[in-house]
Amino acid sequence: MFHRNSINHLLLLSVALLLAPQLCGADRESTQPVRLELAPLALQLQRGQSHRLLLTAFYKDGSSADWTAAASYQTSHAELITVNAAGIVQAQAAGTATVTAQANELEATVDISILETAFPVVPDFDTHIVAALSRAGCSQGACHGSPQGKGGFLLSLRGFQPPLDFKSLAREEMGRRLNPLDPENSLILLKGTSRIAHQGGKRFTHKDEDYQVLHRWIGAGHPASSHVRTLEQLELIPSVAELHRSAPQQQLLARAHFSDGSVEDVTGLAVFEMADNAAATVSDDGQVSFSNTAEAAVLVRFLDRIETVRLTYINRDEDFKFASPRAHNPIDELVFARQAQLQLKPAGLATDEIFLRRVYLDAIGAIPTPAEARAFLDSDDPDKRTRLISELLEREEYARFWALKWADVMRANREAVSLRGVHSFHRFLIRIFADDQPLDQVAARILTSRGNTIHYPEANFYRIARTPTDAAESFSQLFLGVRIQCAKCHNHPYESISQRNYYELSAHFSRVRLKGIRFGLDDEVVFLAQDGDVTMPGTEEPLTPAAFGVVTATDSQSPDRRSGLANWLTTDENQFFARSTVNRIWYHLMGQGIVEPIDDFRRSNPPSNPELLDLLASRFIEEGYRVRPVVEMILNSSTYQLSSRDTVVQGERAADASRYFVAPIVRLLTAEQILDAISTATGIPEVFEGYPLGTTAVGLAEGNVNHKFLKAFTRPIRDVACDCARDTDPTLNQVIHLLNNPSILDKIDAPDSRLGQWLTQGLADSEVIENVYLATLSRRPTRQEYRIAHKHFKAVGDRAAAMRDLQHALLNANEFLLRH
Amino acid sequence: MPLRVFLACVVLSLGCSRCYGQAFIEGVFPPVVERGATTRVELVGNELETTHSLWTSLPAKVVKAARLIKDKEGNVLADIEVSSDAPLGIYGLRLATKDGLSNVHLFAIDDLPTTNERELELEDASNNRLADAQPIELPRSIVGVCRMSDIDHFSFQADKGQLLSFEVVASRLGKGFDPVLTILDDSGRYVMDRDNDVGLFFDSRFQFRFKKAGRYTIRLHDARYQGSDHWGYMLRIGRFPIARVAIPSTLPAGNNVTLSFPQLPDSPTAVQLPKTAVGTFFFDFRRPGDDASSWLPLTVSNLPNSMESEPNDKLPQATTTTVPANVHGHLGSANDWDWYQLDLKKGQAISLRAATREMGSPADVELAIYDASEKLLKQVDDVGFEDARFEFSAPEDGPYYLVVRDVVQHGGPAYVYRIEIRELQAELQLTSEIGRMAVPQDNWQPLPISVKRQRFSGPVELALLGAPEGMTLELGNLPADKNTTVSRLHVRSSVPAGLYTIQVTASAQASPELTLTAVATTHPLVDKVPTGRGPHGEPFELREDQRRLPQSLTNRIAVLVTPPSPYNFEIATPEVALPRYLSTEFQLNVTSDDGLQQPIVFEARGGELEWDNLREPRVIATIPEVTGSQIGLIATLRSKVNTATLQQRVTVTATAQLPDRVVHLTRTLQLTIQEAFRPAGAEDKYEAVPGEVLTVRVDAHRLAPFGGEVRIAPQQHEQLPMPMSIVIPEGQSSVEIKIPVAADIKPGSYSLTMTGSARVAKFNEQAAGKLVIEIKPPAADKEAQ
Repeated sequence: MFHRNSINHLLLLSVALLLAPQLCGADRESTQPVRLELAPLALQLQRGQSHRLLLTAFYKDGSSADWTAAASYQTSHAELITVNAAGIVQAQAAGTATVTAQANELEATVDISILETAFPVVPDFDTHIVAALSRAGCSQGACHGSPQGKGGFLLSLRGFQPPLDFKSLAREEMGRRLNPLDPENSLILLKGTSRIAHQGGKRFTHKDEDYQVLHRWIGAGHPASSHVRTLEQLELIPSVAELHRSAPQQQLLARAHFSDGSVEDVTGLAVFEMADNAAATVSDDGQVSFSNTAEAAVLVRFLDRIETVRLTYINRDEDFKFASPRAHNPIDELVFARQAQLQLKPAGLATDEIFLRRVYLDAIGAIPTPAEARAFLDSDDPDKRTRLISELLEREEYARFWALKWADVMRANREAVSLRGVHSFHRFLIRIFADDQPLDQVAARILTSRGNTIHYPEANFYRIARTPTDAAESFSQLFLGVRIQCAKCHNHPYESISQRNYYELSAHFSRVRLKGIRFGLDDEVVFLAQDGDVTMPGTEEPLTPAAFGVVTATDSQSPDRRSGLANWLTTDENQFFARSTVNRIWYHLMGQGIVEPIDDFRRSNPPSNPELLDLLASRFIEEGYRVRPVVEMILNSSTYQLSSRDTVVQGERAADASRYFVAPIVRLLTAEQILDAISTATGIPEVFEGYPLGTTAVGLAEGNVNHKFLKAFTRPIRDVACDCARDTDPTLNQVIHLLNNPSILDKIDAPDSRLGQWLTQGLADSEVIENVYLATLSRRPTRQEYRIAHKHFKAVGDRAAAMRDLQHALLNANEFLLRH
Repeated sequence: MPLRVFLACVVLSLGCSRCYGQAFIEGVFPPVVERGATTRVELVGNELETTHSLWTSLPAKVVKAARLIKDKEGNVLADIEVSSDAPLGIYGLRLATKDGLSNVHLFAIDDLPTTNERELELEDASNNRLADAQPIELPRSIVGVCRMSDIDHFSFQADKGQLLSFEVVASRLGKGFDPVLTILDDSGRYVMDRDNDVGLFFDSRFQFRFKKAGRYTIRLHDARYQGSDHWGYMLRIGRFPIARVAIPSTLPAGNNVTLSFPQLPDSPTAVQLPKTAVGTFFFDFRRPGDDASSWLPLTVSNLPNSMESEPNDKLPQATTTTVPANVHGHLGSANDWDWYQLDLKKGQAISLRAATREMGSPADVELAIYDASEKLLKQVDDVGFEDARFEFSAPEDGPYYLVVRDVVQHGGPAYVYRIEIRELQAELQLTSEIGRMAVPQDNWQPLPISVKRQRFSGPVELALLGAPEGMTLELGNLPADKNTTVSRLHVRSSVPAGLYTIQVTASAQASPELTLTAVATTHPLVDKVPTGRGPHGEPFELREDQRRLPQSLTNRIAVLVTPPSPYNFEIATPEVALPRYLSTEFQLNVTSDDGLQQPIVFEARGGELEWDNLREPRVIATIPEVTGSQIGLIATLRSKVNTATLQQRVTVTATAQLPDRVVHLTRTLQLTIQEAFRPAGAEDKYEAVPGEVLTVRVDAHRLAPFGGEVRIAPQQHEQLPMPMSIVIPEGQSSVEIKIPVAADIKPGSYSLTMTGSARVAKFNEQAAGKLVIEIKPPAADKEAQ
């Protein structure tokens, strides 16, 4: 939830917590915990039910350690409850008892009440067997969960359709997969334990809980579920923790809360997965192990619920001393705090030359002219960076450049919306950024658009996303940063997005209709039908529009169901809109999202710096959902202005630095930026067929422009809704273009180029060399570069030719081609 | 006639410029002439060297060419004189050359002083960049051209708080130009922009109040940066009404009426309509203090007006209206629903037709009829490219409710509509495929006419209106079973050579009490290619701006009477059958004056003789050229692969290049393409009685020159057994077979399909005919009867 005030409070708290390690370094050294705690804090069990306990030692600095295996346990009433050395309790009889854990002269207790009702001996198919099959991997997509199944045995993907699974397991093949008279020799267990040939290999052993649950169920006559109970909550303990340096391991406890009020320890039936992380692993049993400093996100899945545990472990480096440039704004405070916590060293501040070129490229997509570069570099104004940022964000090029970024993912191409539509949509986007229109209003305008696309370019959204499901997918990816496509066919495998969520979201668009060609040309009219529903596949139940479980239909009489969705964008229930938008902005400026990929927000893909994401979202909301203040804030931060030239070697005990913005990400300029930079450097504009002279590559309305250079550098043709269409790896084709493209050579050689004019004006060699460097690399040459240039001039003899050589060489330099 | 067929005919007639005149106008500059003044206009095109006069869709006393000059490039400079009482608006013009009439082009009549775009007159005077903006004084109408990738800038001074009106006329001139206007301040910063105003096609008309005094620039370019040397435009800036719709939009002729203009705050306004106004015309409107006028379409109608009475958003508030009526309403806000009550008798049938776009309104209305219990009875949105229309018959006596709403739930000042409600009765519509023709004295040219009858089926009589004595329509009437005819416009030698404007009218007696009349509409095209691509890839889809040409242009035909032709020709066989994949011949009789030395060349076009975007012609005509008279000139038609078997009209144009002019004469023939054979009984019907062995002769019914073998697979019938296969050998026209008629067959008529196949040229052809056998009752039964 991102209510403005709550975000502020959260931020303050987060900052305080993050800064705490720096402020009380001495306490940090303490090896003694201040208290122990048993989890769950209170427990209610049924007779015969067992449950794990987790014993956690808390230190003064807020870190914790898993002491479950190191403690001794006692029970107040052994006849009521027993507890073993691993902290697993077993309810024996109804009553109330206390279990006490002791370790290192500390103790913790938990009160346990045992109900008279006995825990069912026979596992429940829908909630136990399905989970067991899922944990064993039987129902994963690569095995029997594939649409065709495997070896004639078909299960629903990850057990999302228990009735189908029951039929497959218990009824098909004349029930040969199960043997209730001799459960041990049931085909499912023989194959799963690899006692007979199984292409899927060994899935469990006799000791595993999934095996035992299956065995008990088969032995009991493998009944279908007798009553419907649904999983309401998957509780994870701990959900967030910073591990003490002495404890790089942490056992996780998964508890399922069912709709019938029962709560079970399902650690043995849950699936644990670790997001890509070289410094941490998780075992099948939920044991997380760190090998070095890292943040880890552990994905825990049980039935249709997926939750994430975030753990941090600091492998303390006694010699690490954090040093950073001065924090210029709250962004820096949060970024540097995170770096300090993870023992990462940031680079120093960039020079004016580097900053100048970078901020031009990132703000307006172009390099400065020689005059602009000279003016900035020669200025003594201590606030010149801030001033320059403000000036750039007021320029028309800023709007064009940022419109390009949005146009790239809005899929407005000639095939979808016609050439006229491409141009009008492009103008629409430019006005958004030029006027800094609130993006919540823009999103609402697009979402609720109606009318002829010739007059309402925003309605082109529905020409591109023509079906309710396509519109829901586009809406989610563009405005929420959430990919829901998987849920079209089955519940999302990596997120708690169900198939129902998918179609409920689609239901907002169920009444959108298109009628073509009112003007005998290339237009279409978007309008709303009086009725129309999206139904749930399988049941054909008409669905009420809802956004990830939040019902948005405010007026059942209104045919426009989309307005509820537009309103929901900025409500507290919406966790995505503001955060995904600022993440997108951050990505465009920093080269990497706080959540990465930027359109893949999910709990299992947490932000690298949640507090930073919240700060930016808060700022975005405070500024009325306007982009420019957020851009300005980021550009003014020291984090943005770090040097790319510093060689920073991180310590062995530091976390992987790649996600924490310790230095700028050096990357190839985009196709448009390179082409425009060449035009700026040479002073000769590029000619684009069908566009007025002076149009920049950044200002082109259409993605699929017939231009060899732009194609070589993979300008997107705008047919996908993600920022993934641009290849970032250089190719030979690109190198050849830079070296030999006749158009580029002609620009350098043109009599009216900058170079030609300088030569005509009779400038001295040194002046020309300086100008060439300023025009091309936005800086003055070094002494050595002067020397090399002069030497080349003498060797060539032809002054003009030598100057052209110089500029050609600089245009092919990494310093020119890279954003650094 | 289906729209696409009609469009294809229209395009055909345009492409076939040689049929009716070779001159082709590419562009007109300036595309605007000033009222009460003489404006020099340059007409650029092809084959204009022999231009001698100018035709416009307005009477010559209003607009005429005072002088025509041919320049070195072969273009025409016309000094066009416009009377001071000429109506403002958009009209059509053509050039008449010695060879014929040109295609039509549109031009505007305006009352603002004009200034040409400077870069058209001076080299190195580009206004493509903001810094090079052309300064202008207001009020002004700037006339310019938008070339490919062109951007035009004009700078002007505006006072603080000044309210200026802007209007660009570009798309309405029938070209593909889609202008975008942007106003920039003195530092080049964006102030506002405007793309399209519905009802003005892709043009716009708006007003803007300037917050600050200063120098501003208006930028104009095509929305896609496309352009052409012939995309002229008129950019009007000054103080003039921005109204483009009026309520009511239909009026009785010649009366003083009060119009309200929802887009103007000081509406309503009493106005005097021109006494000459008929049909749909441009009404020019100017308020005291205005620099200039605006024009908007109004229609003269004999139906009573019925005005919406707000609030009428719900059934109980419905505005009561009568039948018939023109209902005028206004969707003033988004999601506005207007309810009207119609009291109808059981069985009373009415027609309802919405009008919005044709009157300049952006409303996209949907019509619905509810009964008194609010049960929806009928709901209609667009019909084809037109606004909603439908017919309704009341199931019971009582009130019914017409609901008008914008289908996209928009609304606003310009969202007015008109619903024409009439008693359902017979209707007659008339269409002429061509809008221009050149006819030599003492000769004739074909004039294809189509009628559309609704709710009656009688004959239709055609007549000419406005034709001089001696210009007549022959073969003009359409019997009840025909919807199309190729009439002949005959010009006697007494008709002076020159330009004429005629109308073709039709009348029909739908019932003893009801006489229907109609004027033929034409659909001339401005461009060679009407549009780049239709919604389904059709090459001939019309742009909106060419679909809705001014009525002054579309309900009349320009006729150029030329001196007598030194030759004449007729098609001796006006109906020709062509066997598919083979050839056939037809005959022409050519007569000429003794002195004619030049050859006469022929060209046949139409139907499958045409190229279309998808494939080349499937029928090839070969007609030898002749010099002098030749009776019995043989022409050949050859069918290629995949030819459609249907009837199609072919126009044959003869052209003689005389020393001082080109003379074209056009004649038509009806071409029937069919299979080269059609196996069937040699007689229409054979008779037999049960138990009889019937001898029948099966004929190949070959079409010359086909003479090959035909294999027939007769339809099998248990009680009329026939061989499984019948072969009619090459060179033999029929074979005899015997059919043992079953004794228990029931009397009656039996039609059996005879499916034949044969090798025609190098193609396998199939065709089917019928063998009809009438089984009579046995003799005993007969006696019993």
